[in-house]
Amino acid sequence: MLQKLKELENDSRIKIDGAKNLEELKEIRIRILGKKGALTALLRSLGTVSPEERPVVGKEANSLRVELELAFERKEFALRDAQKEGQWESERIDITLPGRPGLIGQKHPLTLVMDEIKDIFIGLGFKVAHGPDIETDFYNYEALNFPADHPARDMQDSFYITPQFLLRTHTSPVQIRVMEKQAPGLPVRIIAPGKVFRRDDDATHSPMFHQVEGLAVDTDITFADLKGTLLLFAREMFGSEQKIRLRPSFFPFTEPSAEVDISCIMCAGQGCRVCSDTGWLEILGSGMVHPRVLEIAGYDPHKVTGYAFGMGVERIAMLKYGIGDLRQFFTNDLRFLKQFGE
Amino acid sequence: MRVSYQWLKEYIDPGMSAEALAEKMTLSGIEVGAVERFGPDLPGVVVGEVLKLEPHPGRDNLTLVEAGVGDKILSIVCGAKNMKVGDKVAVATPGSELPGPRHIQEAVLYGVKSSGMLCSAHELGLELGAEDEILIFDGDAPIGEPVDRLLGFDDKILYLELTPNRSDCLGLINVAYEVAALTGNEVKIPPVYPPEISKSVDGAASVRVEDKILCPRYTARVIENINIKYSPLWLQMKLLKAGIRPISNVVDITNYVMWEWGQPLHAFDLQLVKGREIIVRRAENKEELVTLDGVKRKLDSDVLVIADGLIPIGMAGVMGGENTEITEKTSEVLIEAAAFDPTNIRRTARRFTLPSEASQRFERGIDHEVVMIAQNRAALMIAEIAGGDVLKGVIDINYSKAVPNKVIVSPERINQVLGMKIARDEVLKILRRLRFTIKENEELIEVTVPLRRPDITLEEDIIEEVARLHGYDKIPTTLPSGELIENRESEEERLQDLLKNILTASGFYECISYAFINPANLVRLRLPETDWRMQAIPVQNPFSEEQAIMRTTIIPGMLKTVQHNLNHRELNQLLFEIGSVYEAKSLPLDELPAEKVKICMTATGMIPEPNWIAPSREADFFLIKGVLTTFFNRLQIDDVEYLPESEPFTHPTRSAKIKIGGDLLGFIGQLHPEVAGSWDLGQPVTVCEIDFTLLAEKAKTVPRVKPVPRYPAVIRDLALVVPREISALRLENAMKEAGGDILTRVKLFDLYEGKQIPEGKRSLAYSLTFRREEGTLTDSDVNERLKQIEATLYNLGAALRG
Ligand SMILES: [Zn+2]
Repeated sequence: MLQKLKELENDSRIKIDGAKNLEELKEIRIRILGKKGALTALLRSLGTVSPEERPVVGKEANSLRVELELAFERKEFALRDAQKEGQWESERIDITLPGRPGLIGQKHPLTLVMDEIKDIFIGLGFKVAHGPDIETDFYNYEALNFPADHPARDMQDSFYITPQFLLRTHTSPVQIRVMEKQAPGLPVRIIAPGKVFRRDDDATHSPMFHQVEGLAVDTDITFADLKGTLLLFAREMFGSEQKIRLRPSFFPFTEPSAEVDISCIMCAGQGCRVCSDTGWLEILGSGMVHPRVLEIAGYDPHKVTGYAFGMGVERIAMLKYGIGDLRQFFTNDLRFLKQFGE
Repeated sequence: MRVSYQWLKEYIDPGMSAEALAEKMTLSGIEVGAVERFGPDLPGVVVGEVLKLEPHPGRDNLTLVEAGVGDKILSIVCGAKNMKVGDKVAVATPGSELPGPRHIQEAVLYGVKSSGMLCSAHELGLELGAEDEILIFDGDAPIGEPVDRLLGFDDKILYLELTPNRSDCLGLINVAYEVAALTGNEVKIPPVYPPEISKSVDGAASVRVEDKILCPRYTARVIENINIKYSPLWLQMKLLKAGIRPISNVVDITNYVMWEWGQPLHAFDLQLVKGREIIVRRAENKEELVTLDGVKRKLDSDVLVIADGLIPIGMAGVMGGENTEITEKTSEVLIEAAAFDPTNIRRTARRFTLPSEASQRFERGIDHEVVMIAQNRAALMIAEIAGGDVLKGVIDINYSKAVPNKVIVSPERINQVLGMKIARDEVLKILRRLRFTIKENEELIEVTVPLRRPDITLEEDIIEEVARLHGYDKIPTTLPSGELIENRESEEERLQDLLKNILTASGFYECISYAFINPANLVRLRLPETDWRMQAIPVQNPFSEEQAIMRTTIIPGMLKTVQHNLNHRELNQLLFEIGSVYEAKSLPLDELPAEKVKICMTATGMIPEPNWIAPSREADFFLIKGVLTTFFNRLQIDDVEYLPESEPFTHPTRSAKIKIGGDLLGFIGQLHPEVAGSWDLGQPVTVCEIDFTLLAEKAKTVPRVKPVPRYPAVIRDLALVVPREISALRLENAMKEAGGDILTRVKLFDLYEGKQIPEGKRSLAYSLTFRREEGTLTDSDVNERLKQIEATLYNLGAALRG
């Protein structure tokens, strides 16, 4: 019986393949699958099969019917398509024409970088804080342990509005404003992005640029916590293979202080023009909050410790996107802006 | 600070190469910006001895020189005249190379063969001596020795980039102490006691300090019978390595000692000091002094001067006076080594724009004990090199109260702050290497810090010393733990991000422009004096007019951007900026100004950019209005009004003021053609500026969702011909009123004016959606309501079409 089914299948397939037009195919179909068709006839003779064999043969016969149905359908499609050959050609489109223009703009690369920095630190439990662009001498300098007439002030040349007011030279005043508001409440964990202004203007300096400040104050913040936080940041920002290097440095408002380098992203630390053959790129300044700063902001430096860091957004964007000229950020040339997505 | 590696080695052996030392110093807090070889390789340039001099047969100004260079004797034609037989000179032998680069070959000069060249210092690349004089070495220079080696050209210069707290390293001795802290090696102090003659300084000069705050210590020595001349070559070379131009022996020695000890010194020609008297005092108003650079300076009582009995002879700590300058006639000098008030020196140096090596050191603070050491060291060197007789004794007017800082340190706190374990023994070892004095007091350590490190006053300063010398690389990496902080991103922060997303999804590119602008640009916007935006906050010390005031509107910055892009053939632009403008409550500022966040948009050109498939329209008022509509829909703000009012810089009849619930949000408008012209914008530009804070105040940032309608809608179209003066808003309101609650949406889908429409009229086509919340509408319900709508419109003067 199974043998007969097999023969029927082969025979049917040859006939289906050989059909020359839809009418012929229809006739073949009736002869095989119709009420008086070959398969139906075969099934009628199922009674002659032994009861043990019967379910097996029945199953085979049914699946043959399904397969043949599909074969007829496929052949039918093929025959129909063949009929329309001329029509297809007349409906042909030129797939090499450009797509319909989508209307979509893009955020500024500095915004993209600041958003990324914010997201990393929000994920680490930091809160976003802001401070004014026009600051008082007190918040910008005094409270951050830059005494008047001190050489430390030479590190940042300021634009003054009056002797008392100036354009902030760093985002660090936000540290003081946040701590003052919250003291003696703990913990403090903030990230403060914003514009800063320094009296520099050349290929590597812009009179206005952007920084992101970070601050964490609690009963037990350590220098090791600072290093861990920054390592995590560097890896999120520049890739999981990143290494960081801390070098002792000086900022009036931190002690101990550290400059932080990442392994050069251009040469993977091998040494190149961008990193002056050192294999390292300086990306931020950091340190443990100076006890005098904690005190001015309303915390007892014997009971709490903190760390702070500040990074230049332009610097990070330049490294990340391979931008050579700082001034491009503020010219807003569309030929530049469109490279971040058009 | 330039540190010659070979010079440094006179005080300490670092036990490693210059490069390794630079790396080690950088990683422990003294940043070495670069390590450079001092001079070029000079292959083939060797020390030669002048054996014979003869006149050139053809040219009077040339000399024939026979120079022995060890293995051979070369005859050389030379243009200089300053050598004599027996002199040791630099001979560039044939095939040698000089800086430039210059290749030296045998040549025939006016008929005489010349096998090489005798070199001047300039030809060797040194800023030394006269250009037409050849360099003459000390008599003991070995013949045949390569000149680059003799001159120390293979020395390495370390460029220290010192932070303000580490100005101690402005002297080599203190750099040596830093190297000692890194290596544990010994510091060798050079001899500092001069031989004195029996004649006492007391009768030879006197010193009076009138302001002991500004001058806490003044020491003076007198040296007689000095022979002023050029310094020996080795001394000149050391100064060149330090980046200082050699002048004459006494002046060179004061600079040498400054480089060695970090203590600036000054030498006066004592015979020119009237009354042989030094008075340290504030200048009198209107007093004048011609400083060593030849400039006449007008002084006043803010300036501390060194004066003689009559007039100022130096600006203390900044620059000496021409009237007592050391010259070749000088035979008797008074050497000043003093300490001055850092702040006063800093102010004076800045005021007269006279930053000098001396003022740089004084304004960072110097070690009051070193004042005397440097004084004696200089006297010793002058006696040895300039042949002077040092008078007995030092005048020392000392009001200094400088005492070493004492700091109590707890090793436990060091570990607490650093987040790691450093053993007590290691802490003690580091402090000893720093040459700090230690007294152990049970758990605590009492540290006495030498005067050379005034930056160390607190326990935290000691923690940094321990951490940096132990190695920042050994600090572990951990993360802070602690309580959760709620609301990590404020509503406003999120809203701003949402608006940026809407803007970019609408095709706008974000710009960031300077927060300061040119005041002339506000005038170009034709703002009247009374407009608050004219009351911009001026910057006191801008670079240029372009950055002279804080912006009160983002528009000028954006127009500059539009102009820039048009100039670069980017004709189709959708731009926005979200940023602060600055509003002074009063001028001049006596409190912090309001910083208001504004959203500024500009649109110009064909949008989308002309293309083969989708139609483009000129960017106009309605493009930006469409974006605002998206804002308002997304933020569920519905009481918005557009009033037909313009800004001074926008088109009188293509502008609107926007209000939310009666509060002014901002404006949209096509730029006034005159204003567009003054910015050289050759095509229409539409601008918009709205207040972010007000928008945020009115916004509901989380959408409230209504159920999706359950019953089908009936849609009917209506085409009207209407007098132009009837606004679309009026028509829409009339339809809504007449349509009642079942008219759920009125949408304008076509607008036409021109041919086939009577003059003064326009045709508008609306699609009206009717729906009932409960139950299906019948045709007759809708027809009835449509009739009412048509009647109302007819009364307004609208005619129904087709
Ligand atoms: Zn590199």
